[in-house]
Amino acid sequence: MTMKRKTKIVMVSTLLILLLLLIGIIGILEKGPIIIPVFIGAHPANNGPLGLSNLYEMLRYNYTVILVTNWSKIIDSLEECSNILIIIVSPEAPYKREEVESILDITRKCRSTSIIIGDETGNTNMILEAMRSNTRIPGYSPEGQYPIVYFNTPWGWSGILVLDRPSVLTLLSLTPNLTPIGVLATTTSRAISESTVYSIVENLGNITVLVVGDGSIFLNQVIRSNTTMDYRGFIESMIKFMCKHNCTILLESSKSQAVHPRDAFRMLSDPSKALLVDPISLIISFLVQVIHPSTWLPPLLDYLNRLIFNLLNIDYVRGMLLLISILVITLTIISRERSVPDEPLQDTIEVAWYGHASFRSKLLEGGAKLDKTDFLSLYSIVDSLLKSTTGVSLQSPDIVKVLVSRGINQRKALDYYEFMNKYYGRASGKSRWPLIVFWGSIVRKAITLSEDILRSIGYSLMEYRGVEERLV
Amino acid sequence: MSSIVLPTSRLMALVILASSLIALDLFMVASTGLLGLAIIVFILILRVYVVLAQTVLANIRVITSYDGIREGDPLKVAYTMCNETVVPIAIVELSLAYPEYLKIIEGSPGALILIPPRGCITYKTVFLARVGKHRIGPLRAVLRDPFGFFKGAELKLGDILEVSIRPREGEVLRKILLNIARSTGLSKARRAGEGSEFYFTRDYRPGDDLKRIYWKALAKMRLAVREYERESMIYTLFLLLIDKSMLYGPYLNTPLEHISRIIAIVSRHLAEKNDWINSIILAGGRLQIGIPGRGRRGYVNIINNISSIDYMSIMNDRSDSENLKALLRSTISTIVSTTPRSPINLIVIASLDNATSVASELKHLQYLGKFTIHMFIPIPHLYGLEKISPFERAIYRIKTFSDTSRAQSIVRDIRRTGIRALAVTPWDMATRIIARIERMRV
Repeated sequence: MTMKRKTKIVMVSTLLILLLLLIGIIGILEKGPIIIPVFIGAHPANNGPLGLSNLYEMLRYNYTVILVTNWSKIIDSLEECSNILIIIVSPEAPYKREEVESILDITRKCRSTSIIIGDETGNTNMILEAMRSNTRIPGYSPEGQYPIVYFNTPWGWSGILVLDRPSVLTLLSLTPNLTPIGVLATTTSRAISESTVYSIVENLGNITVLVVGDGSIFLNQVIRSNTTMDYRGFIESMIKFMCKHNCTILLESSKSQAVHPRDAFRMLSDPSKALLVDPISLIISFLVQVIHPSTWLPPLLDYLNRLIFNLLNIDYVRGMLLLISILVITLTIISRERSVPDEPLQDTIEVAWYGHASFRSKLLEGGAKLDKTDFLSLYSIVDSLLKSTTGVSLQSPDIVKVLVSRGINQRKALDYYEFMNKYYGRASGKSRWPLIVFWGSIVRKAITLSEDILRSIGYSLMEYRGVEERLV
Repeated sequence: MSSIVLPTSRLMALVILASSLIALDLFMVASTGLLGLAIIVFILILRVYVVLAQTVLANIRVITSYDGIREGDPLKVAYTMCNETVVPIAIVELSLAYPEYLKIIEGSPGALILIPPRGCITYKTVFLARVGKHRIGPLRAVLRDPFGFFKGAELKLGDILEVSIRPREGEVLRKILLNIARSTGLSKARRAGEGSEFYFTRDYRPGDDLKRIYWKALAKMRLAVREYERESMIYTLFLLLIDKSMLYGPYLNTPLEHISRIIAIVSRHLAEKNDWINSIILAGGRLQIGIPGRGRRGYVNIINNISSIDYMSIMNDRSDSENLKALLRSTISTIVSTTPRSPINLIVIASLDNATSVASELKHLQYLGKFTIHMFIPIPHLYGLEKISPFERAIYRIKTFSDTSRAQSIVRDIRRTGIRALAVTPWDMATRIIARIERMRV
């Protein structure tokens, strides 16, 4: 089984990624910082005690919830318009005419509409008026703080709840369609007066309006509270009643005050306002500000610019930076390319093959060394040839006569015989005389002498056609 | 794509210069930034060109050709490169790949060329042809820009040419042959019979063909007929066992080349006599079995077999004595199974190193009766005697005397097995082989 080696394939180079990153940072920088506003009032995005985030979570769990930030556009975004429930909690500003018209459009367009208003400010009166409701919210009165209100609702929930700083509802006329459901606990149902009603349910044709003169029961601090009073149960049952089967809830989010994170940060230092700010929202908003390149890049570049300028004014640092820059630019370019030495192509080197090639080339260069072994070889060659030609060995004294008979001078033949045998004895170890022998010159001399002798019997060492003819 | 073009060290120097110029400008030392940038742009343009030219070079059309098939003649090799694009290719360094044992006698093994757009250029070189099969090419090519800043990866252009060179039958050998050979006509048996050569006249006997009556004798009142010498037919098989030592020696005069020429001339001689001839060559661990033939066909088969001897496979042969023996056995079984029943002259030419193994395997053939074996063993070191001065020649002989003695003893040992072995020197090889073959014909 062969192991396949994993190979890493780079589809997009690091350089390109860095370049795109740089372009992105410049783009974000150009766009400017993102300011995430911090909501301090009754807004679904406010996690603080005065926010509606818990209500929003609660609703979202069971229903489709749309946060309304612009009433004039909401009508277009409603995909389904059978059952609509509008919840408005403590709006911080009065509604404009066109906003009210938009709400009315919703009531007209949709099959059934319900509205829950939890308001102690009276900012929703324009809506109530436009829907021809007989209820008005005159606004918060300082003497009515923390009233104990008895709720007896048509959907079956009844109990006592303490309201914060509610507004007593003004009932223009008591019609059969209007049912007070929350009254001051000291009053009885028989003696309902204008000044003691805090909550009503009113049926206006295809519109059902539920008004509570206090938005605080919907706030996070109330829903989260662990009192014996069941605010949560009241709200859940109320919504269940108001929201017909499978309704879409429009939660008002356009009338809450948002402050700049910087201002929110300042509010933290004011104990009276600190509670209004949700620290988590503030941290997120702050972090977004800090991370944004517009916060840190311009100062960083400015700092670097000043640093380089200052460094350039120092002579030796300037020189060093120059060198480093050269190195960086060069290395950046070089590191992308592997340079190779520019060597020419190796041409074929023609050779002639020879046996004993190294010795032959040494011989041609004149560097061949001769020793006593070579003398013995020469002696053997001459001896073999003489024996095979004349029948007399070189060792025999008779060879002198034979050579003379072949035309060699007597003296020369004798000298040759003595020379060859003297050094043969020395080379073969039979004799120790002469003591010092320079074999190189002796062999060379022996070659010259032997050539004359061999020529006399028809052979040669030096000719191309040589002694081998006879030897083999 | 980037790997096909690489920058050279020269480019690195230029890059350092360019970056220095840019850096000087950055630090407001000198206004050299533009020059530095211009150099960088120039480098980029150069690179784009080299990549383009390298791509074109890699896809260039190359036509290869050669001329020359006989030993000793000029062997002309040509590579024509045609650039069919509009991109000029400059500068290309060429180097021809060829066996180291071949010699260029005209031209150069390399060249620097520029191939124009929509143009062709031809690179030619001439070798001194030597017998055997040789592989020449392809052309190795490396592209550089004119400044030498970029170098392309090495490319191989064109095909490898397989060139088979036939042996040359020299005049000297022909003269030797003519001196030794008894006649140049058809083979004769020195017996009267069917033939074309006049042998003698004899008295007419009843039943003799009238066409054979010798009319000149009739003028002397003698009725005689002409007798012709009976033509004999012999089968000569050359068995060549070639190893490295057969390639040693001067150019065109190695034992292999020498033997090839001798076999060529002898084969021609035998072919002219209409003899059956064939050759089996064992070279580089490979068996080349020829096709037997008579006359010219037999001669051509032998020449083709010789011209297929691959030098490189011989030089790279790593087979041991066991491989050799196995090949020899296979050779012998081929010989026995493919030759006719008539007498066969087996001319074996083996190297000194292989001679003993060859003889020990071939001796069994003698018992079959139809084979007459003659073994010739060239002494390779004697080929080194050429081109040496006389005194150095004597020293060479002395130094290599042990090899000569070894040849002597090997031949002696082989003769003891009954095979007629002969160690041959470069100067007497032709005479001895031709003489021995002629003697076999008698």
